[in-house]
Amino acid sequence: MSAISVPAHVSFFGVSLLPSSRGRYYVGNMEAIERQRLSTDAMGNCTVTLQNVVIGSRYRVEISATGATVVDGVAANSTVDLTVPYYSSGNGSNSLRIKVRNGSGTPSYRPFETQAEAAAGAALVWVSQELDE
Amino acid sequence: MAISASDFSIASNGDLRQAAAFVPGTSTPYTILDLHAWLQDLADNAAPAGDDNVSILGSNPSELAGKRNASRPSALSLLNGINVNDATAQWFKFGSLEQASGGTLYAGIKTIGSIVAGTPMYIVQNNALPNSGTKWWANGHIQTNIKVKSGGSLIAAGVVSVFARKYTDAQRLTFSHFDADLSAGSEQVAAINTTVDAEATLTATQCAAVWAASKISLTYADTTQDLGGGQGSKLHKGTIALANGCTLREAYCALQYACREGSSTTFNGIEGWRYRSLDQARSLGAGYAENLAAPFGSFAGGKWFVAQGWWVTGVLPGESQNYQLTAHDGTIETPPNTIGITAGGLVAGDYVIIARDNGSGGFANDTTLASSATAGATTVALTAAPSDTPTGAGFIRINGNAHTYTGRSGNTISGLSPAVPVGGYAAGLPAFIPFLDKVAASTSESSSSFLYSSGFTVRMRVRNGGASPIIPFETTFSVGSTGGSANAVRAADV
Repeated sequence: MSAISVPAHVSFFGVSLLPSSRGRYYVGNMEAIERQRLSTDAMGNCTVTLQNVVIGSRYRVEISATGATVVDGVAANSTVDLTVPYYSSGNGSNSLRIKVRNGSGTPSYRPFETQAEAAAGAALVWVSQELDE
Repeated sequence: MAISASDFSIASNGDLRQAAAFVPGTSTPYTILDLHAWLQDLADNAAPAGDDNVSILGSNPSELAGKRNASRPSALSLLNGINVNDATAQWFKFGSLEQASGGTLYAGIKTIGSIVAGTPMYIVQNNALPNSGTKWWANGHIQTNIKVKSGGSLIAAGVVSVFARKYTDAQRLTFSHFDADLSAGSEQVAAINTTVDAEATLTATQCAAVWAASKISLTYADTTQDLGGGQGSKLHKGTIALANGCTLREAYCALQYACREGSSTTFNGIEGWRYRSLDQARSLGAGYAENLAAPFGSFAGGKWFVAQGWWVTGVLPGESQNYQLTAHDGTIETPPNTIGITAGGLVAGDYVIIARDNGSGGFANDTTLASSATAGATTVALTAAPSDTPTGAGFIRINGNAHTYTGRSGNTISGLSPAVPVGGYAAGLPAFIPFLDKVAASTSESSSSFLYSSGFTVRMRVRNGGASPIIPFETTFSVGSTGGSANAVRAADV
């Protein structure tokens, strides 16, 4: 979000505040403009790679705590790269539940479900779908 | 067979419900595997479709124990709140259905065996008819499932009983039942066998008339009785009293009728449709062998083999041989079989004697005097009188002397004639009891009746040295369960 504020480290009315976050910061003409993030805002993107997926399986990545959809789709390849946001450390939205299902075709597979943690960089998820035959 | 989505709905709370009630004989049941396949098919959908709220948005709806195999029963667990109710469960067969984290179990039951086509069957669970007595299967062999666990507790230890007891005006079948333990889930079998009961010649209507005429009454109390067949006094745990001319066949049919499917008769509080034995009716815990085909005993060859524990009274004289009992202790009891021995080909004045053969050309000494007898006595005691000799009027030889008697009670002979001669009899003198020992008064002479025990051989001598002398005739012949007879050959001795 954007805000107009007094630089936190600038003494104002005799109060000296230390910055709690960093962001774009501009100062000039007796004003300072900076862009701050809420703790619930994503800090960037994480690449979650699903490996060993049965082609044609439906996958779904959701936030564990809420079940909110992060991304879903049908696997066109056995390796699926997914871009998901990650948040500041400790944010519950970093905990992801990953579902992979393929129960309509022949052969059928038992529902696969696992968890992953979104973080800066990448997360590798090995998918092990058992035949339901 | 793939499930038609329109047959069921799945609410967001997991309630899987039928769209319409299962109609036996009309609706086609799905297999448990069909249900699993359908749920898994839904589970990989991107979003719920129609009224089936299962998709990848939700948790896994079902899990199969083992691999999918359409040729064997399935054991399916419904997961994460997915559940069926009793009515919906009637749509499925060939396996078991578990839900509520194993707290509820619908287990499969399948009947096998040789049956008359269209034999109606019913299930008894916890001494009652499930589903208020409304069957959810058609006549003939059944394959369905039934709830055996609820709230985490097995119902009647998971055991159900399948019965086939048809007795109608149009058709009477032998009965059958089988106890199946369904607690392990999957599908269990129950062996049921029925045939047309050719002995059940009375229709249901006629049987009802037998009961209406008070021809049969039953009491449930201990009674110790001796049927007289040589088995002695035996304990019985109930009595079947026949009256008003009730024949054994009428009794058999009427009791079968009272044990039929739908019967309202009770036996000591046990409904007829689930009555199995007197052991059950009186909670004896005696382990009576159940007669699956006929709870009160089978009828075959004109004879009623009454079930264990029952004493029968009021049997018509003409049917006194046509039944058999089994005492509480398992002893088979047969009615007394009284027989006689007849000598034919005689003329008045012939002397005829028939007694047990000793195997060496003479008569066998049956026993001895147990004690001395004084002159003039008309009663003597024997050491061991054969049981298969007359208890009424008869003959006895004591130390070779011929007497008649009027009665035998065990080893005591009474009514001796002539009485004990002068000098008396000493203890230990030989004695035997001929069946005939007299001068013939006609062309045929018969012994008094006596109780048949086992077969034996008798020797017959016929002599006449008087006005019409004959060459002494002698022969042996067998005495069996129907008695024995022989004709004398009178060759003139002139």
